Amino acid sequence: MRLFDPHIHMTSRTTDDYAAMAAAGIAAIVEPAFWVGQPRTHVETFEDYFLSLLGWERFRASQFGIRHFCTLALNPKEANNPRIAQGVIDLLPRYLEKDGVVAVGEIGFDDQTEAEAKYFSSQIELAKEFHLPVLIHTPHRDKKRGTERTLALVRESGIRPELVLIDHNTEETLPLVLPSGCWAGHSIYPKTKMDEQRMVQLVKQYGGERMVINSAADWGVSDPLKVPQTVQAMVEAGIPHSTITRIAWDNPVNFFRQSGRLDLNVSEARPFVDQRQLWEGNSVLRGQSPVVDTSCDSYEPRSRS
Amino acid sequence: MSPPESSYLDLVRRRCAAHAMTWWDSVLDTEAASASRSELSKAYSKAVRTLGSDRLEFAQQEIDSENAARFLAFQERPLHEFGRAALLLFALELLPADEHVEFVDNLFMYGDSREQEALLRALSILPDQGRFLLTAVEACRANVQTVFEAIACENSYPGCYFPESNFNQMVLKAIYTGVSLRRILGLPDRITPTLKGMASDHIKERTAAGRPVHEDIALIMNP
Repeated sequence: MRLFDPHIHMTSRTTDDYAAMAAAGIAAIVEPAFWVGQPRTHVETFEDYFLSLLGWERFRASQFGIRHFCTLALNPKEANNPRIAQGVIDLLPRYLEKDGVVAVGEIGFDDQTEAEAKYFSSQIELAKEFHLPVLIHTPHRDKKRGTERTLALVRESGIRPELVLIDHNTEETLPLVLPSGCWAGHSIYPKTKMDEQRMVQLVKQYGGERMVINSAADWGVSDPLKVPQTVQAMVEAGIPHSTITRIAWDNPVNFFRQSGRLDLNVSEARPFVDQRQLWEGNSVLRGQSPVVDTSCDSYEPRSRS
Repeated sequence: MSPPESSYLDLVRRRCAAHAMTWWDSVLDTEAASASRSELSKAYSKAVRTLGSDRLEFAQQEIDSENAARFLAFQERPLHEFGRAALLLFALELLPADEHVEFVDNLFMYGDSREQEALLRALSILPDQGRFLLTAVEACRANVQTVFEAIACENSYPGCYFPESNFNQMVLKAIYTGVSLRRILGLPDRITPTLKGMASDHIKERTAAGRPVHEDIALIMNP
């Protein structure tokens, strides 16, 4: 079964992670622009970050047979930083046109401040202008109220709900999100957010329609294999294969395909792996023999050994 | 330019080893310090290596006779931290008032974690403290736990100056990060129906997820 992790921050991960993800069946990923762990002090830092998501990281993923797409935005936390917030918004139109950008995101609420609401709304307007879907982060704190405010803001914006993926859902927020017509993301984490067994229960209760799972793996204690591990938990719980395939591949594909940039002709098959390739003179290899596997016209699961 | 009224500078100086004292005196050369914000900022960074990390203990005599009482928040803290607080006070005495907010915010934004922590603990001894609210609120967004605790814990600033929404978010973050709510000064006076509602929602969310609830949440629900 080919798998899609529609929310993972590979910039913070290693080549070992890429190799393990590919071995576990992950064939495509979306990397949302996000908070890098500490506040940035210059708008220009965002520009370099966006460029790395569009360039080096996409190449790095390809070297392990994984298709890499990204979403770009001013993240909710740094929307509160008056030094850089408007400057990043002004920067976005140039980058939202780029190939490989499949949504505006992640946007939304963190502390639920006025500044966050302002830039949340303005970035939905950007998404409408560029005909892109939006990926929305929901807050860790005061989550239910934050999700209610999110849904209200989405309604007010006039964006069609099928263009909206609301992420990091829990038992408390999913019953709010699904009736809205938006897609519902779930971040499977080792200790916080959602876990595999709780996700199984949610799928049993709500089915697979507009349901998405991701690892949201980043620089913290997180696990880039949470999508395959959750798939395994669903298999063991007897959830129908068609439902699992829908959640772990079809739904993220159908959501991000609305961007018109998912490049499905390639991502439905595993891309060729040719580690002899260079990116601006740089290789991911450090003395290893390059893997060259140009026979992957269609994806076949690989052994983890 | 005459040196500022500076009993707090002497509180640091008398704890300095010989080499540190020479450095401290050179930093406090008011003419040089007045000429350069960057020199003050560099001294603020260097303080950790020159002043060291011995734990500060104010003598009763100092507390009684030298107006050290307002510095008691630094009791048992490393000397470099109090040294940085003293340097910050010194800098604000030298700089024009309309530069204070930007200077403090820059010192925070470009500081390493220990520089940020010293600044946050010093907020409550700075003149006209309410001016520095945005810096204090921004500190609550830190992922570095020691920086978050420097503003949230054993610090009177949030209780005195934070608007309700910012204070409530800080309390929730303390709950999420496992900090004892007993360390948040002024919490009993800031409990509102909104904060109780947020705490109640948190309990429901944790319960639905089958996860334990922070026991200190009772301090909000049943104050």
